Amino acid sequence: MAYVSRFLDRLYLLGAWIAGALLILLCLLVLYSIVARLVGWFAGGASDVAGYVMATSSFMALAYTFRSQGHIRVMILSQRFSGMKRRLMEIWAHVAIAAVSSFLAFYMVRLMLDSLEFGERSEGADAILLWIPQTPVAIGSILFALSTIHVLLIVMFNYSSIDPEQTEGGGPQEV
Amino acid sequence: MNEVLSIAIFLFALFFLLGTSVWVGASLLLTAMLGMYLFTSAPIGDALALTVWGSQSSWTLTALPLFVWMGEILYRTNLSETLFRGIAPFMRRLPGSLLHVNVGASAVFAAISGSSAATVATVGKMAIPELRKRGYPEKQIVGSLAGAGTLGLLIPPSISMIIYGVTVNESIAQLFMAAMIPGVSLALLFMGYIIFWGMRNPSAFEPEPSISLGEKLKAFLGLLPVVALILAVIGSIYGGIATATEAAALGVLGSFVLAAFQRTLTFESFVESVIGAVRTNTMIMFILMGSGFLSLAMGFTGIPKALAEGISLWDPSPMVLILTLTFFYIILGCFLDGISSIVLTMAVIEPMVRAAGFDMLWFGVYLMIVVEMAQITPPIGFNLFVLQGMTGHDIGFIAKSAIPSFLVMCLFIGVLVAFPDLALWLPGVLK
Repeated sequence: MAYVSRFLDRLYLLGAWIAGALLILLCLLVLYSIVARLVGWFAGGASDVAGYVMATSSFMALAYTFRSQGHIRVMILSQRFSGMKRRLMEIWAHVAIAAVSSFLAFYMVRLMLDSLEFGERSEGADAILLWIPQTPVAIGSILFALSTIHVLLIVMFNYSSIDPEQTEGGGPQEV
Repeated sequence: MNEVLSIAIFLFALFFLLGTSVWVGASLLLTAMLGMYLFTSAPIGDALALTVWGSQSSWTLTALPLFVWMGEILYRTNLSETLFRGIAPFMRRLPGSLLHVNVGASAVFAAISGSSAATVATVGKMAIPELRKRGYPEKQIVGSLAGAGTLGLLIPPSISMIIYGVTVNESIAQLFMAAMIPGVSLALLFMGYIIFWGMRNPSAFEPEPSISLGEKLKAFLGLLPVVALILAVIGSIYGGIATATEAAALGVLGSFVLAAFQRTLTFESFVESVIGAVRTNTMIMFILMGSGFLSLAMGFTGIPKALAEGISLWDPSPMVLILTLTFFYIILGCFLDGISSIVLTMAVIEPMVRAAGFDMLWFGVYLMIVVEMAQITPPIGFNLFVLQGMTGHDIGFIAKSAIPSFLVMCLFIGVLVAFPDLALWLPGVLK
């Protein structure tokens, strides 16, 4: 069990690294389009590609951000509970997010399969086949669903390792 | 379907989920799904996938991760020191003396960073220990920093403003233009309060020794790279040379140049900035997925339309509507963070505000200020949390110290209502 859990954590981290690489790529892409416009090179569809790169980056990091407690939630009420009540509330919250993320992953995969089947193309200047950028996004959403189920199982069977009353974790960042 | 009933169902579901500490993004998605299930026969999953894909791959939104990254890079530089040394010599002789550095440095940092928490953290890192050393009262140090730090939301570039712009389909460049003069005015108003306080308590701290003109010049030269970065980011937008996204990419590049110049750019800090940016960005994106889908679901129910019609019938004076909304956002801000309260309410508030005849650029500026106020109201206010971590005081003390800043912001909303051109003049000129 611990071995599987460690392997999954590595997988989320890998997703975060890919997301980071894509963030750098996004920046380079935008810089390229600025230069291209100044010098008159071709940069058609760069803005569409930038959108795909951003979407992939965000989805790839969903799992890592969830696992490292980066997503925001309101803790005013749950902080007043302790022991069994707190644990039940944690289980409920994790069941909710696991259900949502699994639902999302299922339909993101279906969106990709539909695009593939009907050969849908982007309406932008790039006219790219949509399943190509949608595939990594679908993979990211599967990874996210996996991470929420993973943490749900930890909350149910190994609560002491992430008991929020003991460990507050990194906590969410705020802008 | 009866609108009152559907509003009640939405509100109950949303607050139940948020209250039971379900993640904000997931709460929004679940509420929207429930709404679609109850009030429409549309295929929920397919609509969800299409909305999420469409919003997450939109070009307008690409400014967001880049500005987040820029903030993460700058946070890891020596900027807090540069700002303190560069600004302190010029504030020395005002009543209230170095307390003004809190405001000045926050305003400057806000002009290169889109985040309020990062502004407080960066400025406070240097200013808190330096001001303490000189015997300034804790209450004033914390209070002025809590208030001025929120300028990060108002003075462009601002991440919250990008989120607002994407949500209501307004040009981000235009919004950035609208927010500039109000941002600077609010900073001046904060300084006005400190002058007021300083005149009444002239001997509450040790006076600063005077320094030579040469040293002043040296301090100012230290600020030049920062000024250049501000010009590259905001100037390129105002000059019509770059879109918001392009300005953000230039900002990332400029921040790296600045970090290299200060010799604070290492491989570790580079990797940390990337991973930090990815985490923050993804956190925001998850909330945006939820809010995008909730807007769609709300649209199906006809609630926003009904409310907009209700407002048209009621026909309140702008003053009454703004007072009501301000009260509403302050209450909401007690429980929610800034981004969540923006995206959560816009689906309903936007048609209402449009129906009442407000300019959406002006409303964006207004919204940033009320959300700023929410950042310093307990029990949930992220600037309070950041300051708690930095000073070790409890939330109650920090919130109490921030009351003058809070009142200054209330006053400024009045000014903004009385003189809407503060926000609307610059976008009109630069169009």
